[in-house]
Amino acid sequence: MSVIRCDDLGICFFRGQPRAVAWHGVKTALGLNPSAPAAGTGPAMGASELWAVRHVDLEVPAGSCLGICGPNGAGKTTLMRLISGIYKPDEGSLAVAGKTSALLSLGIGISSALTGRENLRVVGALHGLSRAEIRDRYVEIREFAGLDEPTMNTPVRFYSSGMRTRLGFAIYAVLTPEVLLIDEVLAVGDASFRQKSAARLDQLRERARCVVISSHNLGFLKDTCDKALWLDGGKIVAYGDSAEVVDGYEASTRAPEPESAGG
Amino acid sequence: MSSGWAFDAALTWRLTIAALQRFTTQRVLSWAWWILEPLILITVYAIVIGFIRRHPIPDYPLFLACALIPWRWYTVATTRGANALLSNAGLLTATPVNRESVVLSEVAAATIEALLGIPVLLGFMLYYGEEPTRALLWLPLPLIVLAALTSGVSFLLSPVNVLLRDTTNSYAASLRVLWFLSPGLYALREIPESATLPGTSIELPLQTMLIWLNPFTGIIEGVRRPIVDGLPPHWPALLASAIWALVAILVGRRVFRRLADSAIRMF
Repeated sequence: MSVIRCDDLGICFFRGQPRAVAWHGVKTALGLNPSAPAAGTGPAMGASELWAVRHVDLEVPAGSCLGICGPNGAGKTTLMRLISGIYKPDEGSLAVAGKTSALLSLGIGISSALTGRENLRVVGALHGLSRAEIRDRYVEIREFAGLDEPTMNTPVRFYSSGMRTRLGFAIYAVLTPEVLLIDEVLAVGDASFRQKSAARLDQLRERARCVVISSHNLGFLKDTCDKALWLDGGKIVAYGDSAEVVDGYEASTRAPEPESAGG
Repeated sequence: MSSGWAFDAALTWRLTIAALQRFTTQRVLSWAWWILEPLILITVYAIVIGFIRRHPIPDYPLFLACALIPWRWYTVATTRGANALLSNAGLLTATPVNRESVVLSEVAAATIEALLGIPVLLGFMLYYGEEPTRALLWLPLPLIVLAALTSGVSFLLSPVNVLLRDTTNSYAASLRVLWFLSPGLYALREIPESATLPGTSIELPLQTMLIWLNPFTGIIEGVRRPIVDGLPPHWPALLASAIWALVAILVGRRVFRRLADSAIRMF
């Protein structure tokens, strides 16, 4: 049974002069651009279409850990945002079975004016935790973040960037998402926190039905994931066993072919 | 863990609290500013107009305050609402947060702040020797209409503002025009019932137009009549305001649903 299933998935952005892009966006939203979601043609007023992800067919079975690799601009983050539900697809369909949690950047919902504790309530609400649930498991979260009580009652603007990051990730000490999406964010914090977050990630991976990780750290992808997806120019280059796919991608980056896919 | 409707309601509330806390925790006087600001506003008008320059309308500062307090509420809340998506771009592109919650929380925070202006207004009413009457019980009605209008307009403007940043400028300009077209500085009854359009023989029913075309007529008169005159709101005008508010909510939600996806791709 597949947890994530994409059929001919595609999403279109516009690029060009800001003014042209703005008009194009307005016209598309109002349905005045018949060309927009359909064929990949018809630049309007200097704005051209950019399919950040297109023709992606993917089935991620339950219990797997999928790594996504590819050069900058390959569509990794866009695909993650599609799976998490931040973006709605223009083409094809997408089905995700289970409660999804996206860890696409650290410090989501954290305001520097609020204390660590106040921020935890906001971050908790973003993940569907009530104030009572946060209160009951507060010590657990705080200890995972490695922040003491006076620090938790201090505005985050006085935190070091590492402390801020730890606070952002700490909510995962009590979250058990069924589908976990992680975008190249865990290489942060000091060594001990990295270890702790890696350990917690292992736990989450065991409990989750599916984990998707996008990263440029190919060794990490090979070690962590059992499956891998190689994206380039918004399209799938290869999908399968992680070692094979990552090796293939690695080889392509070492020996640049004269006719590489220009995305 | 909660889900669906309850989840969104809890999230909206939490984001509202966070928006309020962001203001209070950074200021020594904290939430007292939400009382002080309208207090200063009315006092300045009271001094400038009440003492320096006499005005034919009795207790003109109080008369003016009845319009300024709801007007300030509307402008602050809709301006923040119109910027809600832009100012939360980071959040909206990192997590599948409910977008309506983001807009509503900004409007709700501004509304809670603005509500503290109402006791100030009632304080001035007593200062000017107006007897509190039962008509004050009507006061929540125009305020509910105002809150509905505010959220409708915010839903309408917030995604449009991302696609066309000119929205901020044109909205600010149109607010200025709307203020002078609203019975804030003057009373509805001061407006002639009809006037001839200059250079033509077309008769314009000015008062009727002001009542039915401007949602602020009903709101301002709805606040002013109970406080200044001890009368219930001007019903036809308040009905017109309620219709405008309903239209704003229906159109605003529709536009929001349609444009929010495109708007988020612009970040």
